[in-house]
Amino acid sequence: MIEQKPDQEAVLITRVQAGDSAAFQLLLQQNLPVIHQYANRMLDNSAEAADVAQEVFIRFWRKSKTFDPKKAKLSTWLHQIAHNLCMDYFRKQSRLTELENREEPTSALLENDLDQEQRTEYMKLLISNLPERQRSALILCHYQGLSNKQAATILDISVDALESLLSRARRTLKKTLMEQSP
Amino acid sequence: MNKVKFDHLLATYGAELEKWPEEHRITAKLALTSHSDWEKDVNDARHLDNHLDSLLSSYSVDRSELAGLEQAILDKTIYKRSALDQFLDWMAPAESIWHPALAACLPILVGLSIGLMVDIGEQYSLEDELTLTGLESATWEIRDE
Repeated sequence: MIEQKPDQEAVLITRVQAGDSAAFQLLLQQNLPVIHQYANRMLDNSAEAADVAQEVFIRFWRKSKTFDPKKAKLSTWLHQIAHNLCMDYFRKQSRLTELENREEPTSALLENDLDQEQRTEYMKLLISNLPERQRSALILCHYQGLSNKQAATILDISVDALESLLSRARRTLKKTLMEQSP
Repeated sequence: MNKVKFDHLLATYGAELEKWPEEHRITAKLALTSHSDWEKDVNDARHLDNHLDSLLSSYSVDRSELAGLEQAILDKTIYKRSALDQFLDWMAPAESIWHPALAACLPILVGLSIGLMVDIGEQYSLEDELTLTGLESATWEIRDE
């Protein structure tokens, strides 16, 4: 994500709110990769992630006047829209129950001779087996690099609740890795 | 910072102190320098971090791959035009002179299609037409007399 000074971002957002297409294009270029990546991590599906990212920026363009740059960072707001769209997607697909009933990864996946690609797939599987809120918290903080306050805002929970989700997620992963490592 | 607090933050944010909340970083660093035995827990947490980091680049998409998506978003936002604009563009394109002619024929086509669709309620056969024409001629003849 390209970092820019908050006041610079606020100026661009004000211009977008006034209908400035050049400012929108600039913010789109800066934020699209990270929003697409977030959706991709959540959905594990590049095509669906592209649909979500597209909808996020269409809503940003249409509803930019409802966003107050003094109250939150743009990246927080965009992540929040993306998160809600991902949750809608899961609800439609009934994926939440599917995830909870998913089979545990087998220990055979953690053999020493696994190559990097297989390890990556194994970690993807472990993370996708986490309960949805723990997974969201982990992705927002560890992979998207957002602060605990930003992540808590996106998930609409307190910072304490977010920390609880994060520690439970990490403990579960650590336990699984320790149990299954040879 | 006591061990319970340190363990909680370690379990929450991992071994990388830079990822910890800003307000705890300095005290955590100081605590680590004065409690060298806590390093073992940090190393355990780092083991998990390394596994998690193996996925850091796995979902990143190449900038060029995003270009198409970016264009699609622009088409649906800043480049989106009204139906009237699209019709006017179609009417007077730079590359074709046929569209204005086709557009001029549009009212005729609309009239024809409406005429074919509308049921006027009375159907005249050829026989009726001839009878009516015959009556009209007879009327003229009577008037002439």
